[in-house]
Amino acid sequence: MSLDKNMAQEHAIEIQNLTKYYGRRRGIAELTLQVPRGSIYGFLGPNGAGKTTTIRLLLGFLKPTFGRARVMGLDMAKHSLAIRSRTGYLPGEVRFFNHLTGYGMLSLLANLRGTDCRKRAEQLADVLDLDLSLKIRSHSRGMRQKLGIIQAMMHEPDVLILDEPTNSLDPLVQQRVYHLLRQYAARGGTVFFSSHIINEVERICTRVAIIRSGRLVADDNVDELRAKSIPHVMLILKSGGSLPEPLPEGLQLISTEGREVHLVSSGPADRLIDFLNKLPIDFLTIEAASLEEVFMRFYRQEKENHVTRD
Amino acid sequence: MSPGIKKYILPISVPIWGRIWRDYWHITLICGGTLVGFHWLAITFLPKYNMKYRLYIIDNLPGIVKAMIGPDLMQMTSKTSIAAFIYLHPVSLLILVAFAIMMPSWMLVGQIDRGTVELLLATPVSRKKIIFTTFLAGIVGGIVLVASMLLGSWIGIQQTHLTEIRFDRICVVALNLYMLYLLILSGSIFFSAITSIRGMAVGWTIALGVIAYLLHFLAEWWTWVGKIAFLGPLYYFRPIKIAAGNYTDLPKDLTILVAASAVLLVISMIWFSRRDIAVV
Repeated sequence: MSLDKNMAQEHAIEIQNLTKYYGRRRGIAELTLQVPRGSIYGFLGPNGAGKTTTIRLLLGFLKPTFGRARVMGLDMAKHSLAIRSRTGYLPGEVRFFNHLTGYGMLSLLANLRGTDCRKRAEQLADVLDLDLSLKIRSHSRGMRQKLGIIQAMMHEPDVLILDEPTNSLDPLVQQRVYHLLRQYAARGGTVFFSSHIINEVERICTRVAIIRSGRLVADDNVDELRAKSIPHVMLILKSGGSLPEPLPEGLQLISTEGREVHLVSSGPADRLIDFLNKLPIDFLTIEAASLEEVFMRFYRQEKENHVTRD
Repeated sequence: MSPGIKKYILPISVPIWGRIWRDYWHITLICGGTLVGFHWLAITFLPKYNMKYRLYIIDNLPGIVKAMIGPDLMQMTSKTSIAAFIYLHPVSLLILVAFAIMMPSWMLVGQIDRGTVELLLATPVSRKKIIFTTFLAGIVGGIVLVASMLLGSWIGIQQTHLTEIRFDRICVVALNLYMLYLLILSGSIFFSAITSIRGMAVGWTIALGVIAYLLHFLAEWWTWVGKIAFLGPLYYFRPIKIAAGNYTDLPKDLTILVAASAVLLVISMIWFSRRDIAVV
């Protein structure tokens, strides 16, 4: 990895007002975000949200309608080759020359990069338990995905751009991939981790951006994003107990089933505690919302905005 | 030269060059071998061709062959010109044209079609280099094929002892054919650079080839088509005239073919560099 410890820029990727239209159809619109160096940055969104378009713009496969992006301080439009030499990329659906072996494919890509990364490729293949001597046409989807991860990481890039990296991988291999990515980030590498699987983003990423319909709807640390969310309260009332009406401000009843009550609280914590103190409670749980709930909230909000606009 | 410097100075990508030839060497050899055999065989039939019956034979040639030979038909007055006609024969032209169309489309648009282009473009290799490497591979492939034709002709001439055949003129015919091949190659690269579906690139190149052929063909019957025949590339391929030894426009023809080819190549490079490439 050619990371300079005295690097002036603190962001590995900076995107400013990046917009891409395919004819009249919008790919992404005025996307602005910064990916801190050394972070594992989740890029979350449903299918068709514009994640792959963003990645293809970063790597210069697509030309932006307007806006700009910099990777490791290099302008995407002017220094595309230099960016690609410092970047590792795993496409969403990775495709190889099927008549080559894993070794053949990796050595072709290494030659195109002008580097000798055989040793690192073999190490990665060991970790991911992949036989590189097999022809790619005999590979399963999971094996191809492993090969894709190896080719993206073998030259020790400064930035790793991964589009749905754990597709087709079994849970054990997924864990190994997460471990590899954590090690890589600990050495100073930056991971741009695009996914629609919320749980894995929550598990591995330090920061996350949520994209919906080509627009950024959230960009924050995973913990802060969760903290901004509404706590979910589940309580079982003592027999004969009931909820006061109306509920205090900031509390919203979700459902009641017999004595079991589900509430969400968007007000201050002390108000919630005061309220709960006055209730005859047998059992109580208060859970921070998962990233999934946060994501769904942003998703719903965006949908409502659409309806309002229409 | 260090690999770092080589990467920037060389106008081609050596790994892509190697990839093309690892996948295409056997096809090139098969095409070359076929052309050697065909030209050899065709020359061995020449002693049986009696010049006395030339006009009778010409009159009885199928219309499509006559049109292929074009306005130079009546100049088929020697065995050299008949040997040159073999370079116009559909077998020679089809192999050459198929190679010129299939190889670049496989390398450029075929990669988009198959989805392998994403990994290629993620490496620090410029798109211009990809185009130029493909073009250079096409140049070498064309040299092998045209040289195979010449080899076949030469073996045939040696075997039949037809000393009246002017091999030097046959070489010039081959040069003319090679320049035509370069134009077709550039056309194929152009369509491969602007489309994302291999079938479409191949289809467009073939369609234009058919139009060019029809232009050449119809020019024989319609005067007004004859007036615009210069727009078609076959207008600049005159093997019979070259074989007759009285063709003065050859340098102009070669220049036009090379210039058109260079223009198409430059446009392809610019277009391919600036276009969006997305795998579906």
